[in-house]
Amino acid sequence: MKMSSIVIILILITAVSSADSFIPMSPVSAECIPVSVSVEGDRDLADQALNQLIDDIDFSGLLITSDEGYAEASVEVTRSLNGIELRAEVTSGGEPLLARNYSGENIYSLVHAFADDLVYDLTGEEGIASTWIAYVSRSSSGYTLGVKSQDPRSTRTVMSDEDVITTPAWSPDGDRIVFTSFRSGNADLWCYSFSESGAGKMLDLPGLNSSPAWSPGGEFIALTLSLNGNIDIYLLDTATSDRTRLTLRGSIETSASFSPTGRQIVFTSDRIGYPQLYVMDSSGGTAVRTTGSHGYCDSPAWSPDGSRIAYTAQAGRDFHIFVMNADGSDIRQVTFQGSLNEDPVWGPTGRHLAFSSDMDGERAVYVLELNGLTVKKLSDRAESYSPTWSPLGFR
Amino acid sequence: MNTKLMTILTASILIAAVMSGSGCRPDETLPDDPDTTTVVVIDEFPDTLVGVWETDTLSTSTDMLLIHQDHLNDVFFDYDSDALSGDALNILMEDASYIMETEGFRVLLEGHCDERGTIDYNLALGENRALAVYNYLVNYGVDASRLEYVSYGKERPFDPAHTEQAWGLNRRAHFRVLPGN
Repeated sequence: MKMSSIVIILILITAVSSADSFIPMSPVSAECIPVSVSVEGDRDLADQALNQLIDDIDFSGLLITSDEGYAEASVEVTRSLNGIELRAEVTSGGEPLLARNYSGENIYSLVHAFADDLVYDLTGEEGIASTWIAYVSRSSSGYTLGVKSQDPRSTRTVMSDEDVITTPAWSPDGDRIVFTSFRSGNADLWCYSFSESGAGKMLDLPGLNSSPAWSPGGEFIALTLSLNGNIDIYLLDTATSDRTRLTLRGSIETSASFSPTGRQIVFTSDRIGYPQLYVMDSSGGTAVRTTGSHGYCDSPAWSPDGSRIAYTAQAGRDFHIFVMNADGSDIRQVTFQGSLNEDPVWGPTGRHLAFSSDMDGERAVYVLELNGLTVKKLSDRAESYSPTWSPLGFR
Repeated sequence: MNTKLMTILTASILIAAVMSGSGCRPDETLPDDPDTTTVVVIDEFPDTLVGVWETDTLSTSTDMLLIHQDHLNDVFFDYDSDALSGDALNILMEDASYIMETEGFRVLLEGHCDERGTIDYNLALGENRALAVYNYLVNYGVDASRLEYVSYGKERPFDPAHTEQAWGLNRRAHFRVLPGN
């Protein structure tokens, strides 16, 4: 009798601690400000502008389109000698809130600029419609690093090679993307610069020069090196190229991500026999384990406000995206479909995530708005993964 | 030369775009201001902007190297493991003997993983697989100067299928013959 009740209790404990018990993140879209939109003018342009404006507003996480909005946005689009003019007027109950004209060459860029202004003027928070996302694609002809805007325009290739390109990271100043390339037969760190329109080798120590992460001010890159057969995290000074070793263990240490103050680093280590997340000072030293509820965990990304960490963890046979508080509490599951969801990165305002997933079959890059939990497929190429988000102000 | 000029022009536009950044938004827009501000939205970059790789020497292989390649067999691993199995040790003994008996080439040991698990961790795991083979060969007596190793993680699978069979083929240390001695 006593034995069987112990067995039952053990089974119950096992069931409760199984991967299925994580609380799903729930949408809280009630906070959004309703906005009604109308677009007039050149017919093709107006259709494109209306669809994009609705997309931008509904994906902001702060505003939502509605027939009866608190604010009413009237937009008129026309072609001019110099390109396209977009005139926007926003009113609330008949009172004018915002009147602004936009001129440029591409209708989507104009709509994004207006949508971000609308978010800012109504909420005081920055919008992300104008930001870009870079990612890696693999096809039979090789690998590309491409950048994609959040609209129907196709991905632009920035670098292309027959050999592997992986783990890109967009710099805080927006001009550079560091990544790992195997074109010289080793996993070297390269740096692409938009202003120079080319990539140069940054670090080519024997073994891994991979998984780079920028410090918030761009002075340092934390990355994984495998000197002397030990896979550890090092800090690279981008001005002097000086290296400091941050982890000193024989186990695997990788996947660094800085806190927004730059004072701490969250990373992956398999020092207990399987990969878990740890937090340490960004000058090295003692590391504190922050995950204990999962098996395999990796790819941590610290949120821009410092409060949360997004990461990948094994749930049953599958890998899903989770978000937890930076101290390891309040774990929420964010993805539920597909068998391999990985590499979450935060949008620059902390209201969005980009990640890769096989939820529609082939691996692709998706963007997620965390307030309403809206998911959109972003990539338009063959097998796509390893997203990295531009900072605000990159157009 | 024209291309170079274009690059410089593109660069200036890009710098302007990056610099202007948040400056696109006027600081003050008074709700009842009769004059409407006009924002000029500078577009990102041209469609044709594909970056150039800094010059770098790339090795080429010859027919002779292909013959050596045929004599060297790859070894396979269990899931999330860099341990060398009994089968792997038998194969590595033959590989080591061939390298020691035959001159005129070097070997790049590539560590590979299956698609399960993450990119970052698999790059590390592949490194440990390549290192395990490297250490075995050096301990067996192969001259370390003839060996290099690299991890491809799960980035370059031999079989891109999503099956147990493909995963088994992709968890390997691959021998890639290089020119040299």
